[in-house]
Amino acid sequence: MKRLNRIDFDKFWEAETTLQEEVELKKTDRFSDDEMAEEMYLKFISEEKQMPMQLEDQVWDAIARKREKQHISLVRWAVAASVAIVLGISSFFVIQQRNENREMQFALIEQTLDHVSDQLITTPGEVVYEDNYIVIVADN
Amino acid sequence: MTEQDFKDNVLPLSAQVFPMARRLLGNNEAARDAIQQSMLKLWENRKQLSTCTNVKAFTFKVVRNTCLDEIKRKKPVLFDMAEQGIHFDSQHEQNLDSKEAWYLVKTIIEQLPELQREVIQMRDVDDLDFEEIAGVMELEITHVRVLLSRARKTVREKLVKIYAYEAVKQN
Repeated sequence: MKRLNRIDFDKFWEAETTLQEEVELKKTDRFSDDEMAEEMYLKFISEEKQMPMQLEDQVWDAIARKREKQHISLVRWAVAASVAIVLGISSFFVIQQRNENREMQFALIEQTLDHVSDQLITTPGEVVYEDNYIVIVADN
Repeated sequence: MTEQDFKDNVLPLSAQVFPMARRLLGNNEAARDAIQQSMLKLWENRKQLSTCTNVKAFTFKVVRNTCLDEIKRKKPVLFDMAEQGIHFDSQHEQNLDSKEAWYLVKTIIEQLPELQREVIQMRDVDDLDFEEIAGVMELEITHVRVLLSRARKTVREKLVKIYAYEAVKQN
């Protein structure tokens, strides 16, 4: 049971008490008849301090949920980025292979045409050149 | 700041900032949301938080700003003690005088000028020292002292008047 001196309350109302003194003052639970104002005010403060149970846990749960969401989101982005990189590299090699094939075909055509140009004296309809891929027939 | 430091030094302040958030937003649910939002901000900026000289004052400031932003965003909720979840103990519930007394003090505080009201609530309900209040409200410490002194004097005068009136009525 706490009982404080009238002077303490006077100092309190004048804002001359320290925070520590005020913490002690707020523990007062016995008041005289002429201290109704103090009783009323300190009870009001006590009511105002009330808060929901387990607030700290709820706040930490919210932070944990957010972290989990961020982690899931990060994993999703990482997977999407990996898939994009794999697809990009695969596409690059496919295109490169295709270009190489075309280059080979052009080289073949070029070689063939060189060969044909040496045998330009032809009769119409005569097969000038033939291989597995190309058949060249004289036109005139 | 590590997770453990955050749990030890910042998270426990959730309970201490709750009355302020409830005062500003008018109900428990909104206060809880604002605190969660503020704590998330602090968690995400915990690296900078470790360089902060007064973590308590900074936390109060972040929560206060979050509440003020929320008030700007939404229409303020009318103060409702039942919705607020102010729980009187069983003895109080049977005693209407306690509720009346609570309303009276609340009304007296609500009628104070804004700065005085915030200072008296931060000091008496939130238990902040002058330096912390000055940090949160961006005021000089001497100004905070003056505001607190004036606010308490006004509250006392009004409470004494009410009781004097009640005493006369009873006699």
